[in-house]
Amino acid sequence: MNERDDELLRRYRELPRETPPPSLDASILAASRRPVRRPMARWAAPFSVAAVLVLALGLVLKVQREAPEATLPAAPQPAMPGTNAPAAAAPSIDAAKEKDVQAPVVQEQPVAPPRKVEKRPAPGPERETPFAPEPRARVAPASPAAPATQTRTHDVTRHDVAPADERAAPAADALAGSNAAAAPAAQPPAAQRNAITTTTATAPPPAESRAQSSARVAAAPRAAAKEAATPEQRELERIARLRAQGKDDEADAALEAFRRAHPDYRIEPAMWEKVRRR
Amino acid sequence: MSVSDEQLMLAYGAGDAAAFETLYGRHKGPLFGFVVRSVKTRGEAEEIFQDVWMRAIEARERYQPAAKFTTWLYTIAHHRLIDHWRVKGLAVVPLDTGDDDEGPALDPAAGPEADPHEIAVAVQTRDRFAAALAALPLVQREAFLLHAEGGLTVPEIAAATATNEEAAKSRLRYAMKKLREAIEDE
Repeated sequence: MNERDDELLRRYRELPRETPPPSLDASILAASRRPVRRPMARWAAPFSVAAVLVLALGLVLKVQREAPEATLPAAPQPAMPGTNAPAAAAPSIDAAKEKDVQAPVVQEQPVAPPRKVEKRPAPGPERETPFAPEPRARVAPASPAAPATQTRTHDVTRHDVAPADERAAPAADALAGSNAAAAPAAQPPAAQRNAITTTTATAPPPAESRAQSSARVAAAPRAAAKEAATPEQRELERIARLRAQGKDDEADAALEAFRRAHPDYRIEPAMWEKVRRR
Repeated sequence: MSVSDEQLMLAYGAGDAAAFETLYGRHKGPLFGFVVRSVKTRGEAEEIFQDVWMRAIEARERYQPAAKFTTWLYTIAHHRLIDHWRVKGLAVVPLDTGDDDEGPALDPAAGPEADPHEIAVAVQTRDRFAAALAALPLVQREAFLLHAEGGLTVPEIAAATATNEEAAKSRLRYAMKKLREAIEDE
């Protein structure tokens, strides 16, 4: 480079300077910032998916942990007098088999067409049992002209589909008069009173034979056995039936065996009234 | 002490967006001047200018400071201009030009006249200089602009234009000679 070259460069720099428009500057600078942010964006999607999966898994585990408690069956069913329950003292009676064996008894009854039933809010003290299922159907007050057969059938249906109402069974027993002495419930709770009302409304006429009455009430424990979900509850049901049938020796032995087999099992007060030694 | 261009580019490649803004501020004027005097219209110049910076942005992680940043940047610009000239049907720079090489034919749109001397007579000094510059053969004009705008030396011009140093030196010398003649004829 010599002076002549410097002069030439000076002349060149005297030329009007061209500059890019500001919009072009902004566009290029914005483009320069996008790739710098890309690493975060690259991780954002996988991280979001992982976070959602973890939350979903936690939710599923929580639900699974709570589900067994939420699906606990209703309170154990009371004993019913005059049933055809087998007297075997074996501690592991299969309630399902028992139901199957006794199923024809129910089917012998003429099946009434499905009737519209009335829902009654009857949450008594016992309904505060945390996971007792709501009754699925209630018996509507029968019309006075309703035939006795229909009433009986509906009564059976009530027991079949409404396990919570089974707690009213002792009171119903007392009304039926089949074994009033064994009926333990001195003061039935609200649900039982409800059932009493219902049963009273649909009570069979006095002319009804005792056999029919027995068949009607026998369906209750079978329904109870159907609804019972745990072997302990089924066993207690069986003991309660023995007690109700006056087979106290067998009931005592079965209760002892139950205590030995399940030392930590807490028998609910209502059930204890039915199975306790007298 | 200011940070070098190479350090800024490395910083940008590592994710420092502010480094690129500094780099852009330093070189946008010279690069735009280089591009706008190498094509026919300002619109084309803006398009090429933006494209050059986009390529630089895309290549940020591959940048290696083996050469000056300006050499690297103007190499990108040179390649982009080659593509542009090819699309326009203009002759591309021959690689083995000697001292007597006048390069390809003049860009018809670069100036109204083919002879820099006639242009210099017709207009004012500054305009004559601009016209003489526009009338230069592509390779000579590019060599001069790389030197005048980018501050590239002869070896750097050779590297940026993918030619040997002798050819680069010859192109630059001929370009300056013609421009000098244009302004000395005042």
